[in-house]
Formats: sequence, structure tokens, C-alpha cells
Amino acid sequence: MLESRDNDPPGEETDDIFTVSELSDAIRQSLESEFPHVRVLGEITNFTAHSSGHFYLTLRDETSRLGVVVFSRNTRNVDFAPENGLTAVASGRISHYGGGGRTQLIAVSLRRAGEGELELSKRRLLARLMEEGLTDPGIKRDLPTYPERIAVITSPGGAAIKDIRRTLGRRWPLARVILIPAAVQGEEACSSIVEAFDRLEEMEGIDVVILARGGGSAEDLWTFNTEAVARAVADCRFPVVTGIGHEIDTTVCDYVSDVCAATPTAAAEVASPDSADVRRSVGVFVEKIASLCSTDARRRFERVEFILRSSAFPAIEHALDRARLELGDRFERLIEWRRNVAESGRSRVVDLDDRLRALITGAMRDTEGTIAGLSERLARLSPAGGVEARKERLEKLVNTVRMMTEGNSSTVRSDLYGKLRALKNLGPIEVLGRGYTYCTAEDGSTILGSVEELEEGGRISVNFHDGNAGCLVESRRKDARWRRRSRSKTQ
Amino acid sequence: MAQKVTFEDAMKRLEEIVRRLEEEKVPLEESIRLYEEGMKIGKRCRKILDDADRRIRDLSGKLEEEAAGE
Repeated sequence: MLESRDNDPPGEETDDIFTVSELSDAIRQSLESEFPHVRVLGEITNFTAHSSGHFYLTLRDETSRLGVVVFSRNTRNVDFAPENGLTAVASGRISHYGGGGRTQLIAVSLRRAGEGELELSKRRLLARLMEEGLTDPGIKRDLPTYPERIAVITSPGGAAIKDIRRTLGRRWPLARVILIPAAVQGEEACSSIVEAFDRLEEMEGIDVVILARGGGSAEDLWTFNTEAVARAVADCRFPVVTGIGHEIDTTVCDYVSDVCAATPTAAAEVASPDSADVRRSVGVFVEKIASLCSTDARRRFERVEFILRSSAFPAIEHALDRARLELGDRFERLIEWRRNVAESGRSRVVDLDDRLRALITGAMRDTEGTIAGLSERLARLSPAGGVEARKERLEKLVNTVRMMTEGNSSTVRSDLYGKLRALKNLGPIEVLGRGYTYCTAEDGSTILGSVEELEEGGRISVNFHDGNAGCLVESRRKDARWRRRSRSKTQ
Repeated sequence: MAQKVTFEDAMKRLEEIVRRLEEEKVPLEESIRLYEEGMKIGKRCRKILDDADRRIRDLSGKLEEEAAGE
């Protein structure tokens, strides 16, 4: 119908066209008959007490606003001093004010919202969020065990941030607290907290977020029962711990956060480990590692010892014994053989005897050397022997080092005395005492070390051990010997 | 990139080392390596905690001084 009318040329069916006033009036009548008496809960904003005595205000929640007028004759039914940010219930009829082109509530009374009304609106919101699954235990995130960056959304001047800082300082000083300031009560609280969560979205490396506020009346905490704030908590990409009000206060935010703590202090405790506990568990780990490793090492050592005892060790020993026996046997036979030879021909005996003796002792030395070497290796292989040998070596080393350092220090000391003596002998005073002098420029500023620094006719100062004398240089002559030496030096 | 090892990572590694050593089948070389690593991490963890403690003590000391000075 409307569409066809839009397309109709002007001037036709003029009976169906409203004037603005006619339509406004129709709306007013329809609204007044539809809503002759309603009660509405909302937060007061834009409150004005007009000079005419009427009150003008807007009631709002997160998404909608409704203008309210309390005419002067009804203001006696307002039992409190209205103020922006307070939550109130207005009763009256809905009307349409054509002059302003707006729908509004003509209130006959306005009173502060009681516990009952607030509770009801909170429950309605909670039911809605629950239905969406925002309070499911399954979507709650675990908090990190050792957080290093903790963001705190709260009022910068409030008690909450102090409590949180104190608690974290005591329990978990490792964490950096990043305060994101937000108003936590009053008119701006809702948007301020939502804004804080928006800022958080742009941050990186936040381990956990604490949303906190100290205790207050149900109305003070109302911000945390608004849909916008609850959704900001639920949507946050970091885990959120709420610590709002006192133990008995539970807000909608507490339901949608990952962990709900009773107070700001409790929130800080939940969000952090106790460093004393952590220190203890570091200790436990370290001790465990040490004991596991030492047990492991002992087990391996025992295995080596066992292997040595069971197989290789006796086998080597037997081989050595056999070698010793064999050697003895051979030695006997050689002696015998030599005796026989000696008896058969005395003439060559002496010569032969010497050669034989050299041979035998050589062989003996070699073999004994081999045995000694083997025994030593065996001893090193044996754990007990090894330890003993090492102990001995260590002691020897220690002694050597001690002797060396002691010897060294006394050498250093006597060296030092010698140097001190030499220094004293070299000192200018001693030398001057023996009749030497030294020359300086007339003003004593520089010592003159070479005849080349003098000028004929110039003045110099000659210094004795007990004073100095101003002198005139009559002539100067460079010694040929020095000239030669200095030349050869430079070559 | 975040090259820095967090305290959480360090603690996880410590636990891992203990678990690995408890498996009992670790070769000697590895057990020595694990031991060294474990001790190093343990020391670091303690140092991190000590440093944090000290920082807080310093800060609260300063605050008290300021409060006393006011």
C-alpha cells in the first residue's frame, strides 16, 4: 500500500495523507493507550533540573536510551537527589511529544533502583549470556603458572590496584604489573572499562588480566552487571580474573571471566604462584637431578668394578703369573747351559760368559719391565688402586705446588728487598751526598741531560744535595766518545 | 622474535630433565649433559627470583623513603 502510494502522482487520494501533527497525535494516542502505566529501569544520564521545576533526564542501558520528564507537580515523588550514573526506576506513561519529535516517558515517580530490580535485570542478562554458552565451564581458560606480565584494569587511584600491587610484590615479584586505567564507577565506568579491554586487544604478551574494583554498594558495582562490560570480559583474548567488591558480591562479569576471585587481593593471589613455593620446587628439582645423576654414576662405577673382578682382572693376573714362571724357568735353563759351556771349553768361556750375562740381564730387564708395565696398568684399571694412585698423585701435586708457591713467595720477597735497596742507592739524594750534582734549567723546571741542551752564555742551575747555584755557561763541548755511541745506537 | 626464555619455560625444562633422568636409560654422556643443564637452569631460576625480590625490596624501600621524606 505504502509503496504504491509513494509512486502515485501527488495530489491524488489526499484523504490518506497525514500532516506531521496528525501523525504525531495518532502516535501519541496509540502509545498512551498501549503504555498507560509502565515502570522502567535504567541508568540516569543527562539529568537537568529545569528552572521551571521539571526534571529532564535520560534512562539508558548499554544499547538503548529513553527520555524521561518529571513535571514539577510530580517531583515530590522523587525520593532522592537524581544524579548521572545512578540507577533508577521511573513509573508513568509513554507518550509522544510532537513538538520535539520524540517518544518519552512522562514519569509520575522516580526512585532509586532497589536491590530487587537490579537483581532482576542482572538475572535476565545472565540467563541470556548462559544461553549463549559464555559461562560454560568448558570454555574457561587455565591461568599460566608463572605469569610475567599481568595487566590490571581498574581505577589508578583506587584501593584495588594498591592491594594487587602489594600482593604481587609479596608473592610473585617476577610479574610486571601493567595498569590499564579505567573508571570503575559512575557514568563513564561502562564505556571506560570496555575501552580498556579494547586497548588490551592491541597489546602483546599479556599472560593474564585482572579486572578489579574494591567493595561498594550494589549500585556502585552495577557497571560489572552490564552487558557491554560482561561481553568485553568474555571476548578478551587473554585469560581474565575478576576480583570485584567483597566476598558476597557476585557480578555478571564474575560468571563470564575465566577465574572469579572474591576480592582484588584474592584475584592477585589466584593469578600468581607463591615465590616461596616456586623456590622450594626449584630446589626439589635441582636436588632430584643431582641425586639421580650421582646414583646413576655410582651404578655405572659398580658395573665397571664388577666386570673387572669377574673377567678381565683375574685373566691378566694369571697371564702375568705364567709369564713370571716361564721367565724363571728360562733363566734356570740359561744358567745351566752356561755352566755346561763353561765346563766344555774354558778358553772361550770368559768372552762368552760376558756376552751371555749381558744377554740374560737384558732379557730379564725387558721382561721385568713388561711385567711392571702390565702391573701398573692393571693397578690403574682397578678402581681401588686408581683411587689410591690418584690420591698419591694429588698429594704430590699439592706438595709441589705448595713448595713452588712458598719458594716463589720468598724469592719474590728477597727480590723485592733487593730492588728496594737498589732503588735507594739509585735515589738522587744518596748520590748527591757522594759529591754528584745535577743541572736544571735556570728556573729548575727541566733537568738537563745533555750538553746539547745548554747554550753558551746561558744560565743554568747546578743542584747539590743541600742547595743549588746559578751558573753561567762559558763554553760547551760535546765529547767525541758520546757522539760515536749515540750514532751507533741509532743505527 | 621472543628469543627470551620465560620462567615458565625454564621450569618446564627442569621438570623434563628430572623426568628424563628418572627413565634410567639415559646414556652417561647425556646424563652428564642433563645434569649440567639442570644445575644451570636451577641457578638461573633462583637468580631470577632473587633479582625480582631485590627489585621489589629496592622499590618498596624507595617508596618508604619518599613517604618519610614527604
